[in-house]
Amino acid sequence: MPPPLVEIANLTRDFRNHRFFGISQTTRALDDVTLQIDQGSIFGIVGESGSGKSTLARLMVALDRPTSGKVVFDGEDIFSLPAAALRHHRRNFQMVFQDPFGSLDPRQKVGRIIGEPLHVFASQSARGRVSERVAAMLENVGLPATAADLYPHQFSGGQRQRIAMARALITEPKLVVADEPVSALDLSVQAQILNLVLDLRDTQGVTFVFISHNLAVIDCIADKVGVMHSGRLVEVGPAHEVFDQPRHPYTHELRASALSLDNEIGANPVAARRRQTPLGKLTGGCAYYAQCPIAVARCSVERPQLRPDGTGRLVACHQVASVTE
Amino acid sequence: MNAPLLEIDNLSIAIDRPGGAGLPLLTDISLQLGRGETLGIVGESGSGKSLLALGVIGLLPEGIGSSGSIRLDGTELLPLADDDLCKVRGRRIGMIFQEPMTALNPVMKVGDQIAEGIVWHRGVGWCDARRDAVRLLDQVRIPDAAIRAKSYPHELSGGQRQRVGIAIALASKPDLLIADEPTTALDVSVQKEILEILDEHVRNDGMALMLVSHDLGVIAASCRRTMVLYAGARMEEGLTEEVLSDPRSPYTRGLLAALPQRRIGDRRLAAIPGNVPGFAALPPGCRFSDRCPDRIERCQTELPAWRSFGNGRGVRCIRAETAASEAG
Amino acid sequence: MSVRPTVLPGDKRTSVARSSKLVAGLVITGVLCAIALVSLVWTPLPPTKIQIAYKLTAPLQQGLLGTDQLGRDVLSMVMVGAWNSLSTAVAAVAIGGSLGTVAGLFAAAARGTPEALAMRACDIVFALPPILSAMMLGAFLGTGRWTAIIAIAVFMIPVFARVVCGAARQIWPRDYIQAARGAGKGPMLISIEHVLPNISSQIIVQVTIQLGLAILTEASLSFLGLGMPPPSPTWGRMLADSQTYLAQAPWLAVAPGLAIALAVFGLNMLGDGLRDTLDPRTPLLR
Repeated sequence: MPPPLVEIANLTRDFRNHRFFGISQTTRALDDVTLQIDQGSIFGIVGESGSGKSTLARLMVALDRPTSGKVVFDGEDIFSLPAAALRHHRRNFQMVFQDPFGSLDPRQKVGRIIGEPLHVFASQSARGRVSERVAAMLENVGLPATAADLYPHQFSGGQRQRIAMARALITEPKLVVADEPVSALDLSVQAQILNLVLDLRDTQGVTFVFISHNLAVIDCIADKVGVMHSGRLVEVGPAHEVFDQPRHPYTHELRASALSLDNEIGANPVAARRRQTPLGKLTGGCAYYAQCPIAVARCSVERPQLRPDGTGRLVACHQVASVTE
Repeated sequence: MNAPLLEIDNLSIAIDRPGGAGLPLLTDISLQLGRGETLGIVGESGSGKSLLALGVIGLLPEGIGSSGSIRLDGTELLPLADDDLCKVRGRRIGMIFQEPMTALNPVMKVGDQIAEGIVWHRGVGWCDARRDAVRLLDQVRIPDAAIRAKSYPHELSGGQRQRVGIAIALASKPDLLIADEPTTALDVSVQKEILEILDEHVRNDGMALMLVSHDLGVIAASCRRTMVLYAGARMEEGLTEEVLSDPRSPYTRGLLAALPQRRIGDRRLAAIPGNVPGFAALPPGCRFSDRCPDRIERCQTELPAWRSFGNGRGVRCIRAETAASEAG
Repeated sequence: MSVRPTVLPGDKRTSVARSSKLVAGLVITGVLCAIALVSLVWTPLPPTKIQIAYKLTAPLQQGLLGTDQLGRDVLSMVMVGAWNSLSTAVAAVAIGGSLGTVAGLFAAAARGTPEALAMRACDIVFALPPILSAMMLGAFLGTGRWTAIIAIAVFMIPVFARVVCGAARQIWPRDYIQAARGAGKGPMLISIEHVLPNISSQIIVQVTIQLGLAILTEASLSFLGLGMPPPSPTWGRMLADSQTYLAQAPWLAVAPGLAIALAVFGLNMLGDGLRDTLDPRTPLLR
């Protein structure tokens, strides 16, 4: 078996908000995350807002630095590299952002936007062929080569997301991290982008980390999935198995609250299952303790670690044995 | 049968342009909504669904006008002066917006924001109104309502802010509640609870609900009837169950097929080709004709008329018409 | 796949109001610039030609705008004054604006301590009004055109640094900047290629408004005798000289006063018009 493309070890990121009179408060956006991503796979990450999934995405492509922990990409610890070497290394991992209207510079033409990474990474001799490569890339993502001479505002949301995809792919990266790439798109266009991701993986062997709050999207596209809650991974495993048979109570809740076409409101009220949120923040215990329907006393004092549960999955829950479908 | 609470006839909304016809954003909308009924308005960006919601409550942006007829309990709303419309707005029609943070006043305690509406519209004193506000917060399931009433909007989570928004809308016990993407900005676990609160008021108080959303799941879960909009025109209407299980418009069929779902083997999702058209550049003929897999030549030359099948079911599609007449 | 513009047609009424401001500003400023340029090659009379015999003649009797206490043609003096005022203002804003823009871009890109230091430095310069710094500079360099230019430019640096830093800080968190970082670009390249073009409209607006201010400051400096030395006429000194003859020859004050007011008004209109056109804020419908 080939070694994983990305190995994330004990990755932690604290943010400090400054308040009045120098009093500062530290929030832990990402808490001790360990994760491996296999070559050529699509790894899905689901979680709600504030679960740390975007922080994790930015760290994976070195747009941010961790408080502690490391990201080993293709055998190299990217945060221990000197600045120039890291800059050169960036061609191997690229990012696609959520908002197709904010991720393209409105003052630059599409051709220049897509070619931008080449200006840094390509050798002097290869620069002359930038426009050829841009044209080829545009066709690759399903846009006409003439699009290079237009400005971003002349495109619709779905088309812009294709442009963003083309920019990410032009350096022939091994990894593309896509942070909610379809959440801002219309349903009728969403499927086009999801198909594009699948095609690119199959034809070019790109590894994708695909982040979404939408379970159906992840279920559709991902091979493996990591479920995040309060900055931690709570469950990792093959996507279909995780969604069919969640082992962590939070995954369970996520799945239960996703609305499909045959849901009916009022059949199983959420409030009945939820216990009162205690005031003040718990320290030390499981972050999900307050909402967990199966919590025991141990959960309030000891933080569960992500462990193999014996079925090829990793689960962070003391009560794993009692979660049954 | 009693007259329906809300009756919209042939409503059009257009950008005013000096001299000549306006640029239409929404055309030929007719619908009826009775007390205790729920209607989902589903559509993508540019479908005009939010504009419809704003049009009903009379809050269209400047420079955009509406024509046709909107009747609430038999009273025509469109010709009303601003003052009279204000009374209708607060007392009889409530509105919930997508982004709860921008809909709340950031420097006013949430309890007072709810009480304000009660004082204004029911003419009770501030003291009673504040007590009512706490009761309403409790009703929208905010824990420790009496304490929370004294918080400012930024101290609440997104879900709690949306609950406050609902409490404000419910304060005047409206006959009709319009919710424009009420759960789009919220997490899935909160979404369901918000929809449950709305459902409770429809069931218990006989409130009518018009829910605008792009999310078929939300509509399916909370609306008995559904209207599908595309590029400013209604494409299909009917009982939600029927629309979703037996869609007659190719657009609805395409939307349902494009829902992300688990793939079998190497299969791809059934995407609708092309993009949602801007309203300034609509294709001639049927608005969906440039993306429709079932189009025939006629689709590109004439806009199909709205065809009603009775029982509230209707569709705008030439092919559906011919299919119906062939069937008998 | 078809590519369709998704831009909203703007509202006619507001765009008319916007463009009328812009047109008024452009016309006034354009006429002033033309007059200033013409004065370089032609004036009705040489502005320094003294004709004591015709001193303090009312407008239209001798020349279009009359003559001053030495019989010099007021119209010619106002025309040359336009060149002196505008060129001083343009030079000052060009120097101050570009230094301030660089400082602002740097502060926004560096964040943290360098930004705080740059902004505190701005505060210090802000505390010195240009008239004060012109007097101090004048003590070292002697009065003259460059003293005025440098004094005004120094005052402009923090103004531009503030505006540019504020605008650039709005741009930095955007995703396209993150994408450029992901493409391996450093902060300097990003500032030049992405930040500067995206804040250019704010800078242009600021330039026009500050030009108006610079003309006003130049006028007050020369009013106090800190500007260009005689005999070359400036609007400020013409105003100062006219004080003595205000009762006998009010046109001496009216001509340069009106010129100053018109120049500042025109530039402000231009700035307002540009702001509205470059930043339309059309309500977007979704």
